[in-house]
Amino acid sequence: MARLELRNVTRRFGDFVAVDDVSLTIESGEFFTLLGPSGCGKTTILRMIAGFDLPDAGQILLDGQDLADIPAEKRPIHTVFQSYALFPHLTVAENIAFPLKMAHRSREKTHGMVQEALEQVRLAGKADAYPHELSGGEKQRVALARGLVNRPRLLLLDESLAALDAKLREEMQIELINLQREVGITFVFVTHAQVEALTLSHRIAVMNHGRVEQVDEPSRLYGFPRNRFVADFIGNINLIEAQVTESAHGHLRLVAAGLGEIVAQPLAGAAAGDKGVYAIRPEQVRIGVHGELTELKNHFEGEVHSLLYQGDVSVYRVRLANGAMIEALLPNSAPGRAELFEAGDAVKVGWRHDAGMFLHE
Amino acid sequence: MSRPPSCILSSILWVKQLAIRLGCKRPQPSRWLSRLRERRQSNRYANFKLTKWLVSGPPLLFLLLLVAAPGAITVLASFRYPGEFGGLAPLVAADPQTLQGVTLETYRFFFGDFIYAEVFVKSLFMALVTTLICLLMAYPLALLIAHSPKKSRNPMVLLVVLPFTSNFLIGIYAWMIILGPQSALSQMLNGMLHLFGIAPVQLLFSPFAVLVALVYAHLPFMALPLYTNLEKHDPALLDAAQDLGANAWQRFWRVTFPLSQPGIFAGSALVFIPVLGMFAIPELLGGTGDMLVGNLIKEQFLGTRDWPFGSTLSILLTVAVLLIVWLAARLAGRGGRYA
Repeated sequence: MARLELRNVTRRFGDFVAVDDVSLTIESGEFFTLLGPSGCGKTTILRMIAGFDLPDAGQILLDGQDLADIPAEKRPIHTVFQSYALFPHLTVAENIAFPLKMAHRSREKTHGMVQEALEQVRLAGKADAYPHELSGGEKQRVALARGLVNRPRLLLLDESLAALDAKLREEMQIELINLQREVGITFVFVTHAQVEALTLSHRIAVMNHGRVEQVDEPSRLYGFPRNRFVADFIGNINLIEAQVTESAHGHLRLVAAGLGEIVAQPLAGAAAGDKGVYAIRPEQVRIGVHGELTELKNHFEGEVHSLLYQGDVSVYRVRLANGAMIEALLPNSAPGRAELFEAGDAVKVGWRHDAGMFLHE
Repeated sequence: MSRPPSCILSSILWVKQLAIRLGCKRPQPSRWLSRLRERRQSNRYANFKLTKWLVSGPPLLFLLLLVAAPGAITVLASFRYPGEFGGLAPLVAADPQTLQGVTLETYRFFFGDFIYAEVFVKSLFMALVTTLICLLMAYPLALLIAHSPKKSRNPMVLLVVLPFTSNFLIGIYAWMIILGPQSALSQMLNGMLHLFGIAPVQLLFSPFAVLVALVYAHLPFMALPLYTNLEKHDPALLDAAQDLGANAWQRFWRVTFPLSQPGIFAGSALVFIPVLGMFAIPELLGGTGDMLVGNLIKEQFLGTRDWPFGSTLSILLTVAVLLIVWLAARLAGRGGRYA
């Protein structure tokens, strides 16, 4: 259990600033995720925490202790690598015993801890197998067991689920959540897969160009993105250029390109004349036939342009009369019916006034 | 039912395929057609077998003619008597009284005199020491190259194989000059020894000179397989080991070294086996007492002209090498069960 603190950490590679003045606090026992597109600096941060790289400026503190002078092998921090990095010449049990051997644990204690770890990841029967005899999911579990067995104060996971297929990944996500709850060790997870981050994390830091754009709980990150990048990166969203016309208590009036006058969630600090984007999630948009949806403050006439059938849901792209294109996501919940509307249908789209929000650029 | 030859069948099939491609004919599922297709599949397999023989035939023939056949001749020769003027005694003689047929004499001769076994043991020891020195020198070198930036690796490998571009014997003659009594090295060494009141030593024509030249000639054979092995290691494994608490020595001893075992084995075999058969180096750089098995065998064929005994020595050497390699492979296999 440990509290990790990054204070104004900067890392440059030549002219390229990989990590730009990042400050973060990761609480004890937290499942914390660094999320961002490739090249955003998340892996560099992870390597600096693990000790494979050093910051050019700033400090990394573990429970108040500066890690700068502690080499990677002495840090109470273990990593689960993207490629798992299991030792091919050692069996599963020997792989898991490796950190215990390095810590000079007694033979009996090592044996006991390895058995316990094997059971924890449900691999007791595979103790004597070699890594090349394991499936992807099993390798993943061995890597996890090896990282956790010597009770590090912090476990780093580097894109750890990326190599698994979709079904297995979902299974491992559930296992990972349970495991983290069970052992109570602070997890720092690095990923570019936003759904995975939302599923697993207590809190997420969204990164872009070496900077942290927003740190929040998954639901707040999704529901209340702070800026255009976060809104666009997490989930799907309709983004329409807009300008504030009136900012008052309880509501915000905008003029959006192609939509005209629109009512949005109130936003502290927004003033008339501010330019930005109007953002609305596709699942908030409703579609109806002519005459429906009139009870909603924001409703527009349009025509279904195209649709993407995805099994559980369908995504409809509706071209509005004034030219804007709006995506709407509808569950295919009606039994036996796959498509509620067809391309070319005249429809109405609408959403509640508090569903959409205004974001500064 | 007799079937038409397959070449006719396949040309019919080909025409039909063409018709389908050109749109003249719609593809129709037909039993006749599918049976034909099956037949063509098996023809394809027959073709594959033919190709296999065509490709592997010439080298196989080469090996049969130039390795297997001479080997068999050597085995047979070892059971014969030497001829009066070298070569082998005739199997059919004009006078049956003088006929010498097949014998175990040469083997009895070998095992009857301790001196030959001694040469064998000395040669094995020399080969072992050469292999160990090569390993100790080549491992850091291979590690250095493998851990260098990708761009500089190939030039470094080129430097390792550079000695191959000059003739092997010229290299040995160079060593004769370097180690000779008039060389700067000898003069400097003996001058220093003189300061400490130690009698001068002779470098050339000694086991030391033989060893130096053996290592010099075989170092690349150790360095290259080691490098090819080390270069393939996943650097993430070293990161993982460090992350899990291993210091630099432990990372080498517990990860790099065990993973390099196939390279060590290959390199050792490439050094150990040729050194056992080497005769030029001991002959040119060694003293009278530094004879190795290779010299002994060469002497039998070219000096004393006792072909059967030379053949016997060759065969015993081959058997010894195979035995050692088999043992080493078993030992290495114990640590290398992984793929």
